[in-house]
Amino acid sequence: MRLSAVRRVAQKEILESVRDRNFLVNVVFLPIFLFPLMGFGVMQVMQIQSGASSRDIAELAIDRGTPAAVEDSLRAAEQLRLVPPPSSFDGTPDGFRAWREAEGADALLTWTTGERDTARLWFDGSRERSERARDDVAAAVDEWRLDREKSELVAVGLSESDLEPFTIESEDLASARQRGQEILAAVLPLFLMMMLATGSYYAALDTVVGERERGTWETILVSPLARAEILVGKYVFVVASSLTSLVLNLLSMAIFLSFVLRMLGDDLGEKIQLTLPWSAGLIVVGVALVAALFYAAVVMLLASTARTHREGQAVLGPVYLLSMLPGIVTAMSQDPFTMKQAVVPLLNVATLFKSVLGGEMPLGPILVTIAVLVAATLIVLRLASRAAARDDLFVGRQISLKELLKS
Amino acid sequence: MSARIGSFVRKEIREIVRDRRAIILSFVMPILVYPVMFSLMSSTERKSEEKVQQEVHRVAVTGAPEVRDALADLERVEFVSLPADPKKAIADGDLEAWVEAPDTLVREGDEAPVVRIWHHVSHDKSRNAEERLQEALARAAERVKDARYQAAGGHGSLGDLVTLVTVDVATKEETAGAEAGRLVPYLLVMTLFIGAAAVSTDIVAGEKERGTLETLYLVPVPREVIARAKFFVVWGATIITGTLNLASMAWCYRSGLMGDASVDVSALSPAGLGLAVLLIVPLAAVVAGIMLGLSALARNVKEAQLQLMPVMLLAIIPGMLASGQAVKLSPVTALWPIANVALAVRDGLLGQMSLPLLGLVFVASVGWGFLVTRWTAGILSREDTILGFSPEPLFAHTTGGRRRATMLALAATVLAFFYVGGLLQTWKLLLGLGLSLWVVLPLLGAASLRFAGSGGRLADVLSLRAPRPLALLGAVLLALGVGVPLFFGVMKLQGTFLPMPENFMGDFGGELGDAGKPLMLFLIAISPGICEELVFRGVFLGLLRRVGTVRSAVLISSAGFALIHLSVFRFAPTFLLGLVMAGIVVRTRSIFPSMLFHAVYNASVMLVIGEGLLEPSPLTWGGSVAVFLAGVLLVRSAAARSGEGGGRFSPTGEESRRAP
Amino acid sequence: MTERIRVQDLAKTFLGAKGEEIRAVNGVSFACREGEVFGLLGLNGAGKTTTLRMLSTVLTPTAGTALVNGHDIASDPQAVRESIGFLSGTTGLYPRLTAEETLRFFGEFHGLEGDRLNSAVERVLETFGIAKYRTQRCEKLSTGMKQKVNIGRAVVHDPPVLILDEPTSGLDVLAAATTLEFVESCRAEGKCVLFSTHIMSEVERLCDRVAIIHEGSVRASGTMAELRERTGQKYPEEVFRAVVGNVE
Repeated sequence: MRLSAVRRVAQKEILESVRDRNFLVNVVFLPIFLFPLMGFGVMQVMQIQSGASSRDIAELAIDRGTPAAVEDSLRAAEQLRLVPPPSSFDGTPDGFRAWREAEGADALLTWTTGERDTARLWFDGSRERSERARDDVAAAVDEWRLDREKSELVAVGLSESDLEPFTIESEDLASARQRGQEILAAVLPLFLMMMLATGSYYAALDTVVGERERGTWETILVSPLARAEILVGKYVFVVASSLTSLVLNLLSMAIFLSFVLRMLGDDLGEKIQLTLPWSAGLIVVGVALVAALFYAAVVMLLASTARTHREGQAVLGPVYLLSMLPGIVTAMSQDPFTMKQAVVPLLNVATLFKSVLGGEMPLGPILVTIAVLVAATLIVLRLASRAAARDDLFVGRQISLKELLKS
Repeated sequence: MSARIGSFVRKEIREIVRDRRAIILSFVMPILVYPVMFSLMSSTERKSEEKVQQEVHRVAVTGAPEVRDALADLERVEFVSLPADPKKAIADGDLEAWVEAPDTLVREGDEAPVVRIWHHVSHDKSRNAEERLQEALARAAERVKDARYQAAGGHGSLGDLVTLVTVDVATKEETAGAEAGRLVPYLLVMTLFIGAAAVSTDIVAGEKERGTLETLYLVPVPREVIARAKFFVVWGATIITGTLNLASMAWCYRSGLMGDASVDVSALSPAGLGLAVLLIVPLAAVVAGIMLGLSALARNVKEAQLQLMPVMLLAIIPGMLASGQAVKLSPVTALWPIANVALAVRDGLLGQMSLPLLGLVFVASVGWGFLVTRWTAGILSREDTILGFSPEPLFAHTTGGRRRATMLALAATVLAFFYVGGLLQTWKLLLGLGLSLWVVLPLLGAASLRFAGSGGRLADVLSLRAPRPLALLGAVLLALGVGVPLFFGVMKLQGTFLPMPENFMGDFGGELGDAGKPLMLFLIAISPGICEELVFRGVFLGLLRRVGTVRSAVLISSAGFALIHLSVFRFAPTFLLGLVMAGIVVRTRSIFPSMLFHAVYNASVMLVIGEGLLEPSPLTWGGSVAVFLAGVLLVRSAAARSGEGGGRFSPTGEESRRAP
Repeated sequence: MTERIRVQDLAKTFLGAKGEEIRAVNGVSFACREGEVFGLLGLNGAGKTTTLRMLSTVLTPTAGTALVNGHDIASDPQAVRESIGFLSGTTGLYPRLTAEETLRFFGEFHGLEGDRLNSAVERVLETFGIAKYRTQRCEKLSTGMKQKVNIGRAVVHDPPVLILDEPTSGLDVLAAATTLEFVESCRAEGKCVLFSTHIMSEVERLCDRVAIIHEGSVRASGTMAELRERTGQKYPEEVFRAVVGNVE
């Protein structure tokens, strides 16, 4: 295999794709503009919801037994309006429901006094407004109880200060930077996996299937290049495009995140700092590169079984979705990064990202991850080169994956 | 005729059915994806919860024995002696937490003794330990308090002086409905789009690619019939995907794969699901129409997918409005496309169904579907879309081409300004604001002018003409008069159906507040007055007037101006301001009065209304309206004197380019 | 003999990259009669395809009129499409439909039903010898078979006028021969065939009359003999070159 030939093939691919509007939109435009735009749209939706929610006043009825102090603090609650209690209430859920239907109220508080008081709140847990009323009532009742406790303490000769024998303070040893890393570790792995997949997906489709569809596959095959050279040249291109999309996405995500942090207020900036130590950054980039190599190999192998773009998508679509799963699993699990994960391709990448971004870098699993990925890449590439040598691919017959693996 | 539509529909269906991969991709996959994804997610979650349940936390406790005793009965805690450097041990993960209590809990002075829990949020175990210790210490505090109370002669515990008993009357169906209502409406909208995209790409762009669309259009039936047949097929397929996905989601909820494990979601109400199916029908028409129309504009499958993706991703955002219960289904929201169905499905799952509103949602959706379908039918009978060539390059030097180029430049300016400006302001707020107004925006304007301009003198395009003094005076009066109606009229009115979240405007002013008045005036009043005017009332209004009517130019440039303010709450007011300013430019034929207007208006908002110095009263209302009307009269008379009463503006040499 | 196609000053303009007008067809006129094969000769890009697409009503003309089987292409496009069979290199077949289904659907699209549809489909299957492959999907057929199905698709409704746009381009010898035989049989049945090509041997073999179209307008028309006489050339290629001038 001649490197100059490989380079030339890769150059041709890159030139072609840079001139392709569709490709540019997918790899450049979407990450830079669409995702921030979507994030922005989602923020607008959240603001509309929060605006609507500030107007959403719950109606609460309290019966006459309720202490005046509780009533006052409920009256002062911002999103609560007190309404007259039902004239007759039988104390059953159905009774409450019937009254609610008639009056349109959200919750009902009854109060029985005695040596020990009992407050009973009727509400509907499936309605947000009613739940909010419950929270307000619970706060008011707590407040009243504290007052009672104080007077009880004073009555037995203790002081008000005995109400709180000690205060509990939680001291977080994590720095603003580590807190930032925590956020990155939660958000980035899934995102990184998605971007690796997206970049190689389009490039592979275009360079393998697109070429066949445009009828240029034959043209390049009859050139005096070895098939392996063509294959590796295309492979280099797929890896490059996957990394490009990754980098652009990270940039746009970083910008968007800092934008959001600023919108949320400045004091947050002191508590959370979105930076990575160099070592972690290097490991993530390095592993992302290896993962891109593996990913590109898999996607190219799969793409070579298809004749048309549509077929290619039918093959790659499910794989694309499935490759999100390790990212999802990792985001939800608290497992540390061990050898167990390191031997499973893709799962190891996602777990590694999470662990390293969170500030933990276990050397063994990291090395195993890289080794596993490299080995898997070589195997897949071998399969792909065998596939490229097949004549039925040359004539554009669609072959099944099983057939390909058997060869 | 209906028989012919029938045979067209049958042909399309047969083709789709024969395409096994498309069926797998668009019907089977999504249905399988939910169960797989959700079962995986919930099993991972359950596993990690179990793990937390079994975690043994290493905790060091120092200080008062009461605290140590109170924590002693905690299970799964290994009490260790304090390491030499406890903070380092915690940071290194050798210790989960250190409870540091004072030597005695006896109070000295006013301050209560403080018990500290040292931990590290980056370590999951440490975080979990901290949560448990918080709870245990709070209980311990209660116990210490009760012990003191009883020692002093009190009876029983203080904690149960009052017991709050909550009775949740929600039925199983309602609880399940509330839980499902958070996610299902949104997912439903998404799956409808995915299903419609898969089928519509094949049925139009795919046919074009295979070269069969031309064959089909040779058949002696009106083109609308073919368009209608294709629409029916996509619609039907979308309904089927939606219903199947709904069934799959319902099954996920019923079998406990989806949703909060603590909520019994096995009881989703059949009525709610039925309603959802019913509403899928009109919504599918809207979605199918959009996807079909866009797909028809593409020349091949690849292009179609490219066009569909961004639209799809942005179009499903309204569906998220239904993720909470705050946004209600009202006569207003019932009219919004896509969002109305999401809200109605949410209410249906909750068991809250108001028939008139549902009727309105249904009618509105049918109406939107009808509009979209007409647009689609129009596209599908155009010869360029059938043959798959563009009759005219996108940005040709024709009126249409220039119009498209200008619109694209406007969109790009808004996006780039949002992006670069946001970036600069995150870096350094004041400098960033200055740079984005004085560097980024002018650069974008210049680039737009280069890209979309069609010649003509720069001064003509930008309306750089000396204004009459009267026009300047009128602009000042308008700016002073418009504040009260805008703030206490328009914004208030908007607030009734689009309430602003609290502290929405607050944080921005707060941050800038440190800057000092002169700098603020420069950044908030003078700079926008010059830079934003040059770009929106100069470049875009100027360019748009050359490719269309003055009215559309005013409307579109104002919409662009409103969009750079980047908030759904500021859109209406800034749009109205844009209209006023564009009106000033059109009437006075000069950009300087609108610059003055912009600067004076922003300054007045900052110095008077923003400071709360003006309250709405009949006097301020009357005064404002009078000043505003005086401004209108002045600007009009200035226009009349310069001989341009009508406002239709045609520089020489450009007239012939305008479409007749 | 009745006139089946009458084209009068037909023109079509597209817009170019700089907004300039590109006249693809610039005032073409000719007429074809029943029982006649009329050839439209020209280089690639001469305007043949655009003219034929206008006659098949897929494109609307910018100027001029044309009558096909007595129907105006602008005011009554549907009646025009009812009376023509159109075949070109770009009228594809549905890969996932079988040969018989293709014929059946297109029969239905033309309004055939019941027995009439059945007999039309059977007739086509038999005439073109594709009965054996009736249940095969079009994607599986050989090029020749595909061409036969495509021709069958175009004539299943037995139209009086056939418009063929370079029907033999890209076909192998046998498939091309099938097409040419089909054209001859049409003439024998008294149909009017409008036929565009740039292959001179086909012209010699089939065309009763020809029009040579170049840069969007008709440069000469008549029988081959007339054209030979007018140009003084013997071989059709030479005749063609003499008419369009030396274009390189």
